[in-house]
Amino acid sequence: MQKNLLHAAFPEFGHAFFSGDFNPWHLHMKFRSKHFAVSALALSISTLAGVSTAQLVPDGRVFAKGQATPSPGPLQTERSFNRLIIKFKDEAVTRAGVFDFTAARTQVSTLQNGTVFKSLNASAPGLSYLKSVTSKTHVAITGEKMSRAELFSMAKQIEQDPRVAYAEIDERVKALATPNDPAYSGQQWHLQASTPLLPGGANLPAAWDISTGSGVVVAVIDTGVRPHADLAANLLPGYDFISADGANVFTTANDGDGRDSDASDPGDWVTAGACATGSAAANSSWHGTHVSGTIAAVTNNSVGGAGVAFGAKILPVRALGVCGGFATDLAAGMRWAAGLEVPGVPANPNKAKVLNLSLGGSVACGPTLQDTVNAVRGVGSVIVAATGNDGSRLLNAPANCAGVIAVTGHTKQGDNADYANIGAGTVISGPGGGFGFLIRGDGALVFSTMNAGTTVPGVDSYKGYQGTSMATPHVAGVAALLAGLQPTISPDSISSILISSARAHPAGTYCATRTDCGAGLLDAKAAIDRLNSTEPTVSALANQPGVRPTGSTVSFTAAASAKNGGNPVFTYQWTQISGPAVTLLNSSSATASFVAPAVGSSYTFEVKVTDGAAKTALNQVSVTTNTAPVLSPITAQSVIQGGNLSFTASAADTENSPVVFAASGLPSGASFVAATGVFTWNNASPAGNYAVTITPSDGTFSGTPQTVSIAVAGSAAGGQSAASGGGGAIGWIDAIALLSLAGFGLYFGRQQSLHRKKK
Amino acid sequence: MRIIVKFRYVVPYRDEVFLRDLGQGTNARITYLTSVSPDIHVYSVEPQRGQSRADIFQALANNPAVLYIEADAAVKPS
Repeated sequence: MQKNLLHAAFPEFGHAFFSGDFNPWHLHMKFRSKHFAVSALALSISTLAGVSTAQLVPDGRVFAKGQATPSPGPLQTERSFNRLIIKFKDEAVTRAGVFDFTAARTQVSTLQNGTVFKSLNASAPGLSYLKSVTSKTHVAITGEKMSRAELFSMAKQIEQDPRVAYAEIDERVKALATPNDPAYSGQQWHLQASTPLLPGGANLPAAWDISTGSGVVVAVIDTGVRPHADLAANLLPGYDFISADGANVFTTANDGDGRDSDASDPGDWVTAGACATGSAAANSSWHGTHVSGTIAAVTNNSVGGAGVAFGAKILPVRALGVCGGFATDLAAGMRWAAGLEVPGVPANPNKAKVLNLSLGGSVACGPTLQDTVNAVRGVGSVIVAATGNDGSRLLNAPANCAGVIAVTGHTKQGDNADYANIGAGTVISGPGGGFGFLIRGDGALVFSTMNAGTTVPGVDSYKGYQGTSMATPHVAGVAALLAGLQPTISPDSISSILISSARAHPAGTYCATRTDCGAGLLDAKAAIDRLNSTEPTVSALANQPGVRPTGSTVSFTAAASAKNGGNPVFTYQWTQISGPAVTLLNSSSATASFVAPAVGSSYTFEVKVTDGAAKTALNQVSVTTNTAPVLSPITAQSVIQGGNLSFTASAADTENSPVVFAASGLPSGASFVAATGVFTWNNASPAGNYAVTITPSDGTFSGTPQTVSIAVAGSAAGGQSAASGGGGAIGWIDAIALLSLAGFGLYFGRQQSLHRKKK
Repeated sequence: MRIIVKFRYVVPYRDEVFLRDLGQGTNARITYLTSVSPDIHVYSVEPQRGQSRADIFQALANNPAVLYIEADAAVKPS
């Protein structure tokens, strides 16, 4: 890596360092003007690139709090740490207010006499005073070198001493990792540090100093991948999960067969009308190659661009082909990637910790996808999925499945992209490129690996794309950076860290005042800092799964946990973020609740957890309520044998959702239309009494069923009207299918309506 | 059409006799396509003329081994 920029962060006075040869004049200056001292020191360091740092410290090294918190990583177990920064609550000064060297030394040495220090393991090395930073802040050195984890633990113990404000590891200053890949500086704005002129950058350079995702496997479930020269070194053997469209039909696969071990992308070009009536012709997208490059393009090879987690490996899983793919092949690929069994497919030897899904369908999250998400999360893998590019306020599946990190996209200027879906369930925004919704910007795209072939594969190339597909791998890559530091980190912890470390949507952007755009903009360095911080984590979950009935008590619980020695004494505060205003009960407890109003709606609540050290964490939970439809009374029916009978069931739904009906106990020859509720029995016979039970449903809840009595009188004097028999029982499967169709219509209709709202 | 069937327990999901039994009452030809998990499998179903998807779904759901039936959905790059 080039070390062309010395990174020295001095976020507060206590982090400025002075020579071991204590200079009271410097300190005096700091006392009088802390900002002057910090600025002066920062300037000194910044102008010292290439100049001996011996001007700063006698041993030729520069020490500063270059990283705000410990970074485990490859150095986690290396015993090379022995310096602690300890800030005391009292100053080491004389009565005249002048710094007292002896008093500072005494402050450190007497720590070892305190009960807290004595509680440390007996084998813990002692502490010696090394130098002072301020009159309150001193650097101590341990008697022997320790691992980062050991020293970190000691720091946390020392912090328990009532005389100590804080204690932390004295980190070495590092240079920011700036890749030498030629496109990085000019075209990969999306990876760069966020600045006022570049609010959309994901802030990778400072993160790469700490983690590159080494040792992490990221599954890219997509169109397959090309062995691009700037990517191949980071590719693992994958699998092609595209099955036959029908019996021995392989149109989607476009490789002449079904599932096999070849995850390479043969191309997904289409001719006009191939995918749907009126659909356009399109060249091959090489979508999976682009997404993979964003995550793990070979970096610092002086070729092309950089990847977000260039130390990670890509597991290519092919589930998209010509005209897209099937949810079932996606689900199977997800399971395989996470190390779960898929019948007929060899086990995956490279279990993925992170699954990138730059894809989606405009449908609800069905049971198969949700089952799959649950299974994948159950084995510890995190799922990151695109919200979709419809410019709507509904998320695609599987981004709309519970437990998925749903990613919308923003532009170089930090505005929500005009194509990017948002809505309840959106977790975070990644750089997706394109034009903004309110701040149009320059339309800069996301630059990554590509193939030049218009149909079948051609030569390697590079290209800019836009989409939530492009935003998603940025988030997946940062998840890999986190997993590189903490391999056993849970999906919920990754989600919580991404949420709590996100930068706020910039002022003036579409999402700045909205609550359905997710937590904010992805920030890689902040996420890593958050991982290493002692701030608590919290997850908020509804106590009852699924949609809750109106009038019921809906409750949700926050589960907080301490990290890295944080203080595990928690207080809770719940507030309502969106939805019709309700009264929150027990809003200061871990579990809060409200009574759902009579009309169903969606609500989002946020919990703020504060630990014993006044450190906080936030998380949100969304719940939806609904009312079951109410069937209008249907009177008893009668008909003369051989006659025709018809009646119509109707129902009212509080939320005005479309209602369908299921009927059971239909007499032979009778029919019932689930969508309209029309019962028809022509040439009714034989005579007798019948009972047909009709149940309404709005797709979420079933209403109270009603049994309709039908009497067929035993005279065959002629029908009420001419008709013939037919029909048969129409039950729930009909109803579900019809509701599904109705739902699709509603979905698209609503989507378009909301799209207009967004526009 | 492609349908997803989740079974309540492990079944011989691609056995011809099993598929014939599964399709009993549907009058449709059912062909095994692929699998998602040990208990979720994907089939191609060819309805007979005049036969609706709802008819087939209901007939399949009547099989006691079936937990649920779902139409396979389309996904696309985003």
